[in-house]
Amino acid sequence: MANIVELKNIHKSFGENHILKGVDMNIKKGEVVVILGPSGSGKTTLLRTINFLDSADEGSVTIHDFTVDCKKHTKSQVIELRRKTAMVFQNYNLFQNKTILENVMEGLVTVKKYKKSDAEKVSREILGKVGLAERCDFYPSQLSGGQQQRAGIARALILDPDVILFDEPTSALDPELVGEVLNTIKAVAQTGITMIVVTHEIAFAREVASRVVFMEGGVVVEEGIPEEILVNPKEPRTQQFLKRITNPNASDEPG
Amino acid sequence: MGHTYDFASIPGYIPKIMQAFPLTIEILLLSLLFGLALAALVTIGSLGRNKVLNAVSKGYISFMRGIPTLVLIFLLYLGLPQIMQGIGVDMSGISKTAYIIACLSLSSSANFAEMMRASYLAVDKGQREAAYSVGMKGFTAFRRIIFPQAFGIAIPALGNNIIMLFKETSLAFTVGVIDILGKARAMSAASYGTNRLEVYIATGLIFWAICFILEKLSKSFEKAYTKGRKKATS
Ligand SMILES: Nc1ncnc2c1ncn2[C@@H]1O[C@H](COP(=O)(O)OP(=O)(O)OP(=O)(O)O)[C@@H](O)[C@H]1O
Ligand SMILES: [Mg+2]
Repeated sequence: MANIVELKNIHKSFGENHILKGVDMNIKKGEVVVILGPSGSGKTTLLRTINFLDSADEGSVTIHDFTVDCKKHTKSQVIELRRKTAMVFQNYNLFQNKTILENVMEGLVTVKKYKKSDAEKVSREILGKVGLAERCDFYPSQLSGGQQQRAGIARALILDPDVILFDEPTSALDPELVGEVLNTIKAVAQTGITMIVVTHEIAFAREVASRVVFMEGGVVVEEGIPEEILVNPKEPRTQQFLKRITNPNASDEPG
Repeated sequence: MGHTYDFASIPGYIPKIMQAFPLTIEILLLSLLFGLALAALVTIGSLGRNKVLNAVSKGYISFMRGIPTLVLIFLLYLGLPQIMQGIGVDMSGISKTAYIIACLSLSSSANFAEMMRASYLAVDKGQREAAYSVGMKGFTAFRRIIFPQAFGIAIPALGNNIIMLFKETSLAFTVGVIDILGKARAMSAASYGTNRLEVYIATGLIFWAICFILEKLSKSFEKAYTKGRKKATS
């Protein structure tokens, strides 16, 4: 089966700092790829180069047979690429001037040119699925972090993207709210949509990932099925990282 | 040199002074309109990528904020026609009111531009990224997401700036425009200054009352605009 996402030789620097040093990744339709790695390893940057929130300096991004060269691309190529993706942000980034319902409808109305009434109907349905049927007319600031993030997931899902990018979707949440959001993501994963998830939740990774990628220092150190990478990693750097993250007391760096 | 004050006469002056109210409001609204339009241009210049435009916009703002409005009025009203005459352009056809509107537009545009820039920058950058992530184009993101939020942030400052501008309309009398203050001066002069204090008290009350109303309007507009959006402090 063909790849739905292909990253080729992605390089990215911020000023003097070479952050991504040649990342390649091929993802098949329906795969759930979990990216692990220590802070500063470039996980967020990698996700952001996929939808060109940050443009990589070198390499190419292909999504569903549409390739954009990172070095030279046009605005309209970037927009077409973005329309094949959706993103769930660490800080939710819901549109503050819009209700939850309007947040979900926004992409349908402005980008997919749905009629308002149609957009509202499907948006209400999807908000029901993430357990927010009662909260449609609230503004983001009136909701808990967990509710906001579930709305963020609904906003991404409704666009029916080829791939959804999750950047640490639960790390800004109070601990007691993490579960509800992880459950929502699990349910999304089961629908067969392709996902790339950056997270520090190892148990979650083990449960939903079809593949785990371990990144450090701007390169992919090791990747494989969760049982391999999470239980029997070959690379010492992966072993160390997992030890630190599963046993925070031994850590010299907050997870 | 005894002088008796007749404070009971103050309310009686108010309707007469208010005859000049429409002109004052005309000056206010036109200055506001042109001031905002100028400010929008300057803001685009100061936020854009063009270094030259950045510098020009910053220079403009700093100059207009630094120069007292009264000095600007004298420069434009007295100085400019002289210079223009020197190069053969006759500006005597331009009304005094037009000069005042031009001066107030220029001087207020700097404050408005600062307000716009600050409000724009105060919108979280995650908002634009989220808009891009759902596939919006730059202008759509601005129109649907960024501008409405920046506008909400700007309302209190906008209210203050309008109040300041309203008070500055009183400078119109310096070139002989019969605005509220001009009218008051004329009334005072007509009675050789005997009712001066009463007339100016009435004038002060009028300005204060209108500012008070503007303030209230600004507050309720802000409340209506931001609806339940602001986090309930509980
Ligand atoms: N816009 C930027 N400008 C300059 N440096 C940046 C920028 N964004 C990221 N960096 C740097 O790039 C490096 C990688 O950052 P990135 O956010 O991708 O790491 P991460 O793996 O997501 O880390 P974390 O687990 O803490 O989220 C960091 O050293 C960071 O300081
Ligand atoms: Mg990150």
